Amino acid sequence: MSQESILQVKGLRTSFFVGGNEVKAVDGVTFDVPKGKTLGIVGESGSGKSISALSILQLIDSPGEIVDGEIKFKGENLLDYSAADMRKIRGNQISMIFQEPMTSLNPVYTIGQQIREALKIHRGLDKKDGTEKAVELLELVGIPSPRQRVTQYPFELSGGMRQRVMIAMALACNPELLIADEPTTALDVTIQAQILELIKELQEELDMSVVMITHDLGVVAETCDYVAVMYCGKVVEYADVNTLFKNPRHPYTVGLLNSLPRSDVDQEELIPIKGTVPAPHEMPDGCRFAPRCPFATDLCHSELPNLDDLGKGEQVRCWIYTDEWDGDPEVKVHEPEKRTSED
Amino acid sequence: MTVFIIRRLFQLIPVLIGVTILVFLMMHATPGNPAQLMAGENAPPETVELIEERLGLNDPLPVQYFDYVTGVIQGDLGTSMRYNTPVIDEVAPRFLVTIELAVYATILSIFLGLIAGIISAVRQYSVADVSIMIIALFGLSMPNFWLGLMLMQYFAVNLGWFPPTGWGSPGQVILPVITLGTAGAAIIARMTRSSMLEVISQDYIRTARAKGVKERIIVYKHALKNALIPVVTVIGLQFGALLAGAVLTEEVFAINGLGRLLVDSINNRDFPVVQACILIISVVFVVVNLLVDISYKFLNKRIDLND
Amino acid sequence: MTNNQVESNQTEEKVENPKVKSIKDFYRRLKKNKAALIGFYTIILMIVVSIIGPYFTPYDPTSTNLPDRFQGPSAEYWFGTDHMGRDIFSRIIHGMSMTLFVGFASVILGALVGIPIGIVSGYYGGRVDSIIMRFIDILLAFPGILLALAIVSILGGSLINVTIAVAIYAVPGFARIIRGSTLAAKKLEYVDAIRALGAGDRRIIFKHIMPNVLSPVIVNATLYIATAILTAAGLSFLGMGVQPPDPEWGAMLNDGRGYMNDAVHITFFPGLFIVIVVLAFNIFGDGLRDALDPKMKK
Repeated sequence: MSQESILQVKGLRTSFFVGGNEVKAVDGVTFDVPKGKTLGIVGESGSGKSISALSILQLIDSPGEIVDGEIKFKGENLLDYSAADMRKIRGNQISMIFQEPMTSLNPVYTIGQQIREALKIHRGLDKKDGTEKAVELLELVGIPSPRQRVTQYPFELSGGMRQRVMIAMALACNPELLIADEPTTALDVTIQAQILELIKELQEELDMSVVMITHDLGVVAETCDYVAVMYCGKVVEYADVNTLFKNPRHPYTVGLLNSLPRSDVDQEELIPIKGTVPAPHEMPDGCRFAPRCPFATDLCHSELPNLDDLGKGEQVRCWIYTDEWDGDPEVKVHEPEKRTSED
Repeated sequence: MTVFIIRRLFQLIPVLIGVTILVFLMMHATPGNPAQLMAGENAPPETVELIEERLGLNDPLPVQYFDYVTGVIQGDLGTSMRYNTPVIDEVAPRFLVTIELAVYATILSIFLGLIAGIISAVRQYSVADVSIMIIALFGLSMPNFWLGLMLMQYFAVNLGWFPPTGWGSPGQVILPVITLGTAGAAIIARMTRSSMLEVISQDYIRTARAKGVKERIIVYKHALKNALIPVVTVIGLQFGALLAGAVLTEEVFAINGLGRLLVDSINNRDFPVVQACILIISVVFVVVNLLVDISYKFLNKRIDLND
Repeated sequence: MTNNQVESNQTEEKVENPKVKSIKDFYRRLKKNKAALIGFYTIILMIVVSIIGPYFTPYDPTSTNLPDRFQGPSAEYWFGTDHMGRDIFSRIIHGMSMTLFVGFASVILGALVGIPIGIVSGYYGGRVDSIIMRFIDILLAFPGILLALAIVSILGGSLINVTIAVAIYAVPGFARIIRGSTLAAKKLEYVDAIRALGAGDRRIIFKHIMPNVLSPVIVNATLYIATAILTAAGLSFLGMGVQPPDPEWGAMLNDGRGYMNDAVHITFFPGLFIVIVVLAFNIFGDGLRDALDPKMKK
């Protein structure tokens, strides 16, 4: 990585221990978040993207546990921090917003009380100063008549407004890194765009880095600078957003792009990825994607490929791009299927 | 909020009317002629007729009911057949004793129940949790009169720590309150635990953690206030159960409360007193539930107050 | 919702239909809960004992033997003797059937009345519902043992009267719970679909609503049995229930009260058995609730 990274995750493994079995939700995840940029983490349900995000702030609840890895924030491994030190990071230097604005705010406290809480913990602001700052923050996230809003309870606000409140809360202490876990999934389409736009604006204004967790490649295209594609608890491809859309490497990424309606290229039809994500207890031995991959060979089924550096900041976890590849050499230079490229 | 309280007060009226009708009919459903009972078995028919006339027993039922309710509203609960005194004089001092007993027992059960429930939830599946839940299950399954007898025998008679019977001195209060409060504490502990566990897995608790809030504050500020909402309802119901359970506790510890008066009056077939006791206990229960409803709304901001 | 396989599996389990599909399915779910299984076997054991036990007891439960009164527990009298020299163990075994009878009969009676009331109230709604619910509210205004006490004071004390009193006490509870479940079941989309297909009220109630309210009925019935047994024992303890010399446990406790200084065992053992029986039903009921419907926590 040529740029300075604010967050480096290396070999992160988070597992859930259910009934004596280990379910590897995040299985050796590695990615970098360049300073001031947005990293998108994309994947289907169950890919471990949300668990990766929660792991960064160590918000994993029992029976989940971070088993191994390194989470370096500005060069320091957060996993070495004590619980008390970790609390000083949360909501202060690293903030997080969640998918469900309807349930993510405490129903029995006012908006103002909830925003003030972070300010009190990390900045020692009293009620009066805290309220002033809360009003300021609500204004910043585009909530009309913020002075009235601070005394209202969450049930008095719409979903979009609540997500704005969540963002205001997250921004209270000027975090250097914002983790947004599917921030727009639960919202109406029109509101989605507004919220994404807001996050983007605030990022530039406040010079934040952002980790955007999403299953939606459209969101990635709109907001991200870099993308990590996750599948079954592993990163399968990492690249900058232009490279990923123009020249996807991993067959899974190709599949995702093919199943996405696009306006920039002609598509004859949308092609869904065949099969389903394997259940955690029947994980294949080799490449996790092999059972669904159109190019899979015996090698793919038997051995797991590494996440290899292809240069220029591109990484891919696929046998096709290694010297050991025993299948059709043509697929190495493949482009998204059925794609009549013009660029 | 005021509108809500007034509305709820109005909703109380049909329930109170229903309760008085039931209590009134109860007396009429009892076998035997009350006038005969009052006059004594061997009284001449003229005396019985005179009493019937005085009590208005020959009037049509609705008229009798109307007279009864008018009396009740004016504080006239009738005349005790046994003592020939106004029922209100019999009932009032006893009522205060029972209320005292029930209030102390409620406080004890809330205090113990909440603490035990919170510890259980916060340390789910720990030794403490399992022990608390087993004790609670026993507390729930024990007849309070048996518990009372055993406590009395051991702590009052064998060890001599407390006076075995009566009411008034601090020493006399302890055993009856424990006896009466145990089941309530068990129920509140179980309810608090399950409510806390449900709340702790909510999204907003994760939000609080993501803000850097301390675990202790998450439990007592963010979780508890939400978890208390269903517990409050249980506390209200428990108060009623305690009022009724006081009948047994008072019997065990020979406390001259309303419950003991009720039992004695049933045995003596002193129906005006029976009627009054039942009426008072249910009215207090209904009113307490109203108060609980109001505090429930106060706690639960999600509910529209005008609803 | 976090997109994680583990959690989504858990949610799937939660939305699993709580309907009892078959006895076998029910047993399979119950087996997962060890405590509930112990409760279940204890109840079965008690039923068996209450039926065949009386033929095997060492003494007649009501025959007095004054020379042997106030004997402590011994090889001869396992739980000792009471103030009349009667064997307490024999009396407890004979009393078991009474305790279980009051528990089961009153709850079945209460359910038979309460369930139709709840279903009618929930299904038809409107004015019928509000009238029924007002009436239920009035009955619920008499807390705990009070309603049963009032009824017994009118009817007089006997096993049957206690059963009736406790049954009436159980009616409003059942009606309320069933009304709630009926309302929930009525809202299910498939009920609308069936109605659109031309099914009548009776068919909908019996084929589609009933199976959905069955789980809460079973769970609450089990827990009510525990309460019913406690209430009945309380009435007998007050001298308003089963009358001596019948070996009802609450009445036995009452008998022993006067002799606590010399013979605690007269009150201790009947009380202990009340605890065991009630505990068994409570544990079983808790387990049933977890097995049948993880969402129904209250």
